[in-house]
Amino acid sequence: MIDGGCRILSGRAPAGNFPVIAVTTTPFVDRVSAPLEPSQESARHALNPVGIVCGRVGSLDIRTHISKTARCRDPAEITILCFDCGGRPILIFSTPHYAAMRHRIQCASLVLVFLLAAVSTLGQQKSAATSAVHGSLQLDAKACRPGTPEQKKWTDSDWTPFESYKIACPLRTRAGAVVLYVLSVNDYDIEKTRAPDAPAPKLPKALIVTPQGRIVGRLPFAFPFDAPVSLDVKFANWSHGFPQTVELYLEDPAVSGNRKLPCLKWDTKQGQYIETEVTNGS
Amino acid sequence: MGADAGVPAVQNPVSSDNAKKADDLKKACDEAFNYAPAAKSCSHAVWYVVQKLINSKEPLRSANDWIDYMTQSDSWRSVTPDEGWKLANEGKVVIGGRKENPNGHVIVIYPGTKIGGGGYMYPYKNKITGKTDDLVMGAHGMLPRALSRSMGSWPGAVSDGEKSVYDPWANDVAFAQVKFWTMDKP
Repeated sequence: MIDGGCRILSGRAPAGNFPVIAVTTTPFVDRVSAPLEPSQESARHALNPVGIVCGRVGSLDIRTHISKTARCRDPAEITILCFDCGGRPILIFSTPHYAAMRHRIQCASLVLVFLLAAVSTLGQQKSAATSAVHGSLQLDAKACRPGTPEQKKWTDSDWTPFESYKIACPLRTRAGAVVLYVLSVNDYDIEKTRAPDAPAPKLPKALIVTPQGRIVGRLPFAFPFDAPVSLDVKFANWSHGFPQTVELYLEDPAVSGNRKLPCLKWDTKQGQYIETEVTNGS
Repeated sequence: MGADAGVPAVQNPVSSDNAKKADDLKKACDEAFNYAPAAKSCSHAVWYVVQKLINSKEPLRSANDWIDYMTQSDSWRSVTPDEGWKLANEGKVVIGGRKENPNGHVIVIYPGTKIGGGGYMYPYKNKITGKTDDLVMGAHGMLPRALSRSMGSWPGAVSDGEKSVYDPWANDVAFAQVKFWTMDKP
């Protein structure tokens, strides 16, 4: 049962891009009428009514997102890491990062959260195993769709001239979960509408974006076409459900010919894919 | 093929003093373009121009070897595309190139006005729809003209001055790695 009544809310940290689940001491007896039991069923009953989601991760409930490790040594230093939010560790909650929070955090509340997480972990293990990626996954250009209004907001002003050409290309695991998006412009359509004697527009480079909208990398060209070259993108070296390497292959009909480009590597410290070599792109 | 295709142009900087030298360079480029062994070899075209205007005993080299030679030689120095354009209009031989494994590509800056390039058709496959079609290559800014021949089929790499120095490589990443050289001490 919840000690003193806790409320678990979704929100965003004021200074960060990571999703936040804030645990406060505000009673939520208006939402939960029965005492909680340490079982999966009661956890679902208790938590769903308060709309627990991991920031903008979507419809997955909190049990999918709570870390298997957290600290509660000192209420002022509480940190919860999420290991299943989009396949990479995300800081869900950290008191130093959530300065706006004024209520004292109750360790008892966290104990409850961890209990729920432990219960749900049993159910997750099977699905995690089935969604593991071995080898590499090719980004399928045929899966590219016009960007949603939400996805279109992920880009900056350089993309404004290409508003109606924005596409989002999901990277899905074989189980169907979206791990990342590649956001780009559809240069096939741009080229079709360009007058033959008009200059080729300078296209924005494709972005690698998490399902939460955080930009974590840039490709050296638009995807899949940046006239006259085409880009093949392969996500490889998976670890904890997240690709550590982006392999790039350029189909270039001009004199340089088809070739591998320097791959991008995941940098844990920066939380970004970084180029392994400078490609001298302009 | 000639250099006067209907493409946009910028002011021609050729002065009367250098007009004769520029004409000689243009003539050598035209001959190199039509030189049979150069039809499938960029380096033969460059070699023809160098033999004609710099050293009649210049040995034949592959594109990668040309680039290695000019990089290491005391006689050749690196110039920007814009400097190269001005020098070409003074009749100087300016060679551009990028090494590649196994075959790089080399060109000569063709004297005359700068042009936007592009304007030629090329086939492509749409990876979203799966359909194959033709597109017209767009222009990419005003750049010097090129003498270029190629063993490949890319239309941008076949130019007797009607395409720009960008067209053989045709993308920003590759063109950013193209270097240009001229000979100061023949």
